[in-house]
Amino acid sequence: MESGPNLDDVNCRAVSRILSAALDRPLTPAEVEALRYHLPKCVMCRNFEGQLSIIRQAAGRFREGGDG
Amino acid sequence: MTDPRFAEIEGHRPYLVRYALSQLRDAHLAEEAVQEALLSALEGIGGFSGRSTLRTWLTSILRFKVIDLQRRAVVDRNTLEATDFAAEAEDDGWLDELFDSTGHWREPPQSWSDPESAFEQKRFWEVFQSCLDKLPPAGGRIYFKREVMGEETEVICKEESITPSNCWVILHRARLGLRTCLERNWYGKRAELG
Repeated sequence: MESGPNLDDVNCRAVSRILSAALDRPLTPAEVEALRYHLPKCVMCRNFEGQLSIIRQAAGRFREGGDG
Repeated sequence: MTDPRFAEIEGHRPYLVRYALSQLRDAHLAEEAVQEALLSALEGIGGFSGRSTLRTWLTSILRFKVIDLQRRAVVDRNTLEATDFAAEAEDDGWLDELFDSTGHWREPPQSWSDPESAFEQKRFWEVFQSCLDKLPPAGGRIYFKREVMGEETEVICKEESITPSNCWVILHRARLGLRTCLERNWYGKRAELG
């Protein structure tokens, strides 16, 4: 019985792409599902997700002149 | 004699040049725009109310100079696109440097603690800017528009005449590049020092 793509095939490389895309556009249901499956078992990708949030905060500070 | 904010204004020049470059893609035009904006700012410093940050105020002046120059300058957009986007968006090979053949991180991302304390340090911002400088040209420009200026992806796509998917690929690459650079040059160094 086929049930769509195997979630175990979604690796960190693909997840990094989805996490980045999440900052620019709404994710597709398949992408959301891939994150739900992958992130709880992968501390590296969770760290990457946190880093994306930090560099976004940094970019905002940079705009305001918070680097002075 | 002089307003103490004059010296402070000059300190924002590197940021303003970066902004102008992201909009104009031409170093000479960017310098010209910043020069004109700083002159206007010096003349109009009395009108700065302090309601926004000085940088925000300076950027708003610069924005008008940039629009002015864009109208005056004849930029051959097609030539520019052909040079940088093709290489940066269509080649997926760059991901191989960051991920192994099974798609795992070659350098596992670490947990970055306490961003606030990093933001308070001048050295962090030096590293941040040097990491921005290391991004490829289109990536650096689009990243600046998206994350620093906070423009919507759709607007950027139109300005740059690229497809949304190219835009997402370029942003993905820029974010990975920036995080790798910060981890090596800021967080990694600090971890080594304990």
